[in-house]
Amino acid sequence: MDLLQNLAMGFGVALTPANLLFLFLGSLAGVIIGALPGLNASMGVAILMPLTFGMDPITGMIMLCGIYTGAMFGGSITAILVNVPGTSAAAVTCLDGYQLARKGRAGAALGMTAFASAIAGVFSVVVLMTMAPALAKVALKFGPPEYFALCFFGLTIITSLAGKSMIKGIIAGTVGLILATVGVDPVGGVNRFTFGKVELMEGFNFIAVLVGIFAVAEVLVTMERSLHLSFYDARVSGLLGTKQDWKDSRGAFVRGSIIGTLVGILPGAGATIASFLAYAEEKRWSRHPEKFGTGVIEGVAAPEAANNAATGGALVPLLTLGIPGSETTAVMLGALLVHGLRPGPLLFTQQPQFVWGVIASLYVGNLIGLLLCTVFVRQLAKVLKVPNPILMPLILAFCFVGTYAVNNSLTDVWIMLVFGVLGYLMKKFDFPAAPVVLALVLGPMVENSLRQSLLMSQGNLGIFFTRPISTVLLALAFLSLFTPVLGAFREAKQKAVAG
Amino acid sequence: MERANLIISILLFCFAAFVLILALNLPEPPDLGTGMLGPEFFPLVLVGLLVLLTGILFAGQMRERKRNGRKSGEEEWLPRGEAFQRIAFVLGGLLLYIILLGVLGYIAATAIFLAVLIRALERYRMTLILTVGLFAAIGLWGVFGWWIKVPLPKGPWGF
Repeated sequence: MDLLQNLAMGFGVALTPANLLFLFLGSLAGVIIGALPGLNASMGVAILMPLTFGMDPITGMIMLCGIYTGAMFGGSITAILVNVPGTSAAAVTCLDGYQLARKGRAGAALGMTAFASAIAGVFSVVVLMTMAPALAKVALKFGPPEYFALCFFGLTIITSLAGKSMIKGIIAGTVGLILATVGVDPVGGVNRFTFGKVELMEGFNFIAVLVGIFAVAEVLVTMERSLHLSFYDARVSGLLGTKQDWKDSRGAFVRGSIIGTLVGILPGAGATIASFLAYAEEKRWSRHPEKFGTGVIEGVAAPEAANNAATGGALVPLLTLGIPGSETTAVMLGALLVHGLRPGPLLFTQQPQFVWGVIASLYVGNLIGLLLCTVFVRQLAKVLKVPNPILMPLILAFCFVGTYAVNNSLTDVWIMLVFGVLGYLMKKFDFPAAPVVLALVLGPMVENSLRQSLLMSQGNLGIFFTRPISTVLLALAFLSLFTPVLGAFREAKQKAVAG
Repeated sequence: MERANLIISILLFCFAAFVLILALNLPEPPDLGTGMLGPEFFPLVLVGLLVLLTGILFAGQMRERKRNGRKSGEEEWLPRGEAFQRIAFVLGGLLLYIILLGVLGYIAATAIFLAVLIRALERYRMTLILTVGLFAAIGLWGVFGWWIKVPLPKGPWGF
């Protein structure tokens, strides 16, 4: 009963004209950002976040959620029409999506991905809505040792899953943690690594770092590649698909939704992994796996369901524990902090209107995404033809003013530029950027909870292993850290034996 | 990539050494009791971890290099030719933009930045380039300067 009352309250918040308008604008911007190759959800949320500063926190967050879900919807448009994924989460959609377009079934492919995304998105919000309050209640019992163990677990998963090389992922995370120590020491009040700069006393401006590492770096990478894309000039019709399409996609909708939601909940394993897993699973379940890659409708429905379901899943750890589960939720955590809100279990009791307003807006956002990707998809396909030599400078100008707007400071702009170059070099040398950002967010939490725990135990590290929740979380953290190491070791040994 | 990774390892060692020196020179806060750790504690743990991880990366690359021979497997890891030019244009343009902001104000500096960068990347008609630059600059000023009320830098003409 409580659930329905809370949901009704949430819809009351989400359906006010202003919130609905900004949700629509956010979803529209998200679909366009998701569809444009080189731009993705985290970048979109990062560069448009400064626009929310002048808004009520609920309205701002609703708009950011619109961008997040919209980007997942949009990613498939270019994957199907151009064979270039709009976001990495839509990469696997290219395999069958583009083949369907070549067979003259671009409309059906786009339509089924939109329906798959909407159904899975709604499913994941139902899970979020039912699971999050219960998890928040458990999290209320967390003390510093549990928080330390949780943050540590989150960091280990993120670093071990990110990028091609695990060691580079962990190095990136460690560098991020070191950067997070810049500023006033949270326990002793001593200035650390600020070089006398007042601007650095609160650490690096999170938004400047985000915009630099995600947006500016991405622009530089796009600039390096060819600036021109060739569109497959497909006629977009038959968006509702045939009866057979719906029959073939039923299983994909269900499996994609479940896989996406579960993977999304895991810290670090975001939409991209979810979509690849869902595709592989769909192929395994199929009676004709050999046809995958030649243009089968399940091949687009499953990954698109999974990547959209991952968005609702990723919000579970963010809203209940204050731990970002993905790059984009890390950016959203930054936005919440800027708005003076501290995500975590207390948010459910102290700001119920905010939490339930956001949850309700996710339902509406998925419907708006469906509307945009079915009714307006032809118009959206035209927007994608804005050439990169015009688009990229516009994005840079947006990054610039957005970063400046946070503190009205050119120092932040310099920080953005430095991290932009750093992010670009990281991409070039296969160092994943996500661990740096997540470590920057989690770093202060890790340090605070570690030092508070040690104060509680008078310096005894045993405190982490005498409390059941922290023991389990630390065991999981070590497991997630050492399983890939053991796997790599075994692989190397097998290679040595074979070669 | 092996050579690049070796260079990166050396840079990371230097970074770790730099942080180590800074951390060891941090002032000590008053003692608040047993279990109270100083401000250098966490950075020192992280420096230790970074040195260990970088050591693993370095050793792995050295092993690869030995196995593959010095010249094999090397690939270009920095852009060349036109790609390098485009990157240089963007970074140079951004630097110029920051300098121009203080002199010309937001709208004029943004319009010039956009026009110059677009022209450098593609030879569109000047009227198109100038229109995009000017409209985008005014649009961004409208959103941030007028709507959100961010005090954007002003030029001699008051905007």
